[in-house]
Amino acid sequence: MTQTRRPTADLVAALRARRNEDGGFGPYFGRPSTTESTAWAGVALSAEGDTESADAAIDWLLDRQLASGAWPHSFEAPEPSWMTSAAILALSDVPRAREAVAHGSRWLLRQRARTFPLLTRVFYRFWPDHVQVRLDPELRAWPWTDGTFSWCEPTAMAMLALERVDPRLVPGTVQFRVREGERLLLDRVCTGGGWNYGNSWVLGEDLWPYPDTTALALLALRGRPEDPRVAESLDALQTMLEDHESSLSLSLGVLCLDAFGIDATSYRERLDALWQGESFEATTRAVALSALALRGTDNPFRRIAADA
Amino acid sequence: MPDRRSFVRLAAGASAASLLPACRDEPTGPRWQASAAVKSERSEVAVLSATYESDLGDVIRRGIELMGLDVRGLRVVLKPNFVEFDPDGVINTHPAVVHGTIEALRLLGAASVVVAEGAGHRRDTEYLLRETGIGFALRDTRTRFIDLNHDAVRRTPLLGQYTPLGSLYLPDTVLGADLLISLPKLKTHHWAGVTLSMKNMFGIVPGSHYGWPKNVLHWAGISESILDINATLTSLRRFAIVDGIVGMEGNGPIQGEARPVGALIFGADPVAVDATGCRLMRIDPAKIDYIADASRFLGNLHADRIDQRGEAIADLSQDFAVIDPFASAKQAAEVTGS
Repeated sequence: MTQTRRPTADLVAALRARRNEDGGFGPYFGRPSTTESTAWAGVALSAEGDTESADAAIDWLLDRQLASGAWPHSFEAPEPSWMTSAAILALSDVPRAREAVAHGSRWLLRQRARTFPLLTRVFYRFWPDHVQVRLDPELRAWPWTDGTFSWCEPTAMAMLALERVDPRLVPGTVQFRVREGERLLLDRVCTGGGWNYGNSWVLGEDLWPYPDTTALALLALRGRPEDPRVAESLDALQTMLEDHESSLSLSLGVLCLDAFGIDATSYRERLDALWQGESFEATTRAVALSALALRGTDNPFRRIAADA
Repeated sequence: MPDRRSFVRLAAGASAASLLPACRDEPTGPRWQASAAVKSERSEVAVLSATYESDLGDVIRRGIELMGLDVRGLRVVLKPNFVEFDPDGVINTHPAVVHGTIEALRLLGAASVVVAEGAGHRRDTEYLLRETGIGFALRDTRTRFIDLNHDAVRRTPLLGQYTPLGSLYLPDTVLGADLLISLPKLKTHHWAGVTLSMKNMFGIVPGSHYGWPKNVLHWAGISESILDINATLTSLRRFAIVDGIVGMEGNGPIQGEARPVGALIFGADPVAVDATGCRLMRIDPAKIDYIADASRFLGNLHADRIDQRGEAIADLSQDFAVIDPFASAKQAAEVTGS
């Protein structure tokens, strides 16, 4: 099953090298720090035992939380952002971040995606054969940006973040929101399993699934292993990973399969080989997720599963 | 009471992927800043025939020279279209066109060339670079790639008021370019009608701020967003090279079918370039809402205002299939030849 091993030293060094002077991490080497990149780098470097870098990342995050409880994208874009979920995930095990996590979670619970106007929702209910996009418009989960529609990744990330929070610190609506998130993800599953960015069928055509969004959605749905759509999507994920050569897809795929207790050895080996060879520049998120996936332990998603 | 088709569009038009405005109000006045009104009396466009096996560096150099574009000393940003990947599809700008454009620009004396894109559907840029082949074209030509989804940004006031957005975060790489070259694929588009040099600019809007897909642009209206973004880019020097060697017809921009045309389109006026692209697809550009609106201030749509160089459109044009909502654009083109 899960192997305990260390990621290549080069990979960890590459991640560490992306640390900016402010203690945060940008999406690529030399880029300004962002909440998401800093959050994932912090998680991975903490797992590596680099407490100095991890603490710097935690400080960066704590210093930048907004009064609303949300986290911004970056210094240059100070509005509340979808990256709040990543910050909560990164800080959820940090004792000194307990109040910040609770405050952030309350903001996240207030975030609810927009949906269609009443007329459109009525149309979808009574004339489902004439719609352009097949979905249940009554479901509202999490958007990328305020005032827009529900999409897979922000929904899955919000669900994963909220599950990490002590339920005594957040309103009782958390269960309702997570359940609605589950229903939305299951509503948007592609024919044959897996998830696209958030639609499954548009203008008479099935959309094809992506491994990275599929892995995230499955992680968020791992409490529903009995649902046939989850089982089908696990199969679809493994099929997709067979011909996906990218660190983001393989690392998320490995972390997901680990969390479900499925042997991911072959994908982990391919991820390792990808990093040993020449590859295109990966985002800091992908580097961090690769480091976590190659360790085989300290999988933050697996820990969540064990806690659940 | 609306008829069935109108009702379907009215109701379902507010869908997650599209949010096509059900009704387009006639503007009561200009919906662009004065500085965005750059339309000139006449425009020039060149259409050159080519295949992917051609010496595209040479063809593209000739196209650029034919248009009188002087790139000497300029820092050029190339913006291809690679939004998604399908091994059996023709979704993206062909890597040979990217490769040839880089070669031509260097030969003509550009100070630097970078390739930049912010894929609209997929976060996995590493995967797209590999699978589309564009990453290898960049490696072969030692060209830097900028992931516009994650570039440093500036909040930029929009020079159009077609949407209520007011401003957008736009990437420093684009805003700092001496010359921005749009390098789109010739395709039909199921929400906008066609996607060419202007629609390709959706890719500069950073996903890390607006998501995948960039849904804020859908809620604001796809056509309206195209207009506001392109109005704003009038502050930059721009050019376009459209990969129409093999285009996409039908349910574009992702799931349509390949349609060989064998053409590259060149020009500095994005409206004239896109109108020419439409004519190559035998689509009436005046029936594509955003091109018609753009022709009020950004550039020339009508054929009698466009000086056509290179191949005659009639020699290369193909009868591209379109989906139902745009059938009238096809029919009108057949009737009027506009």
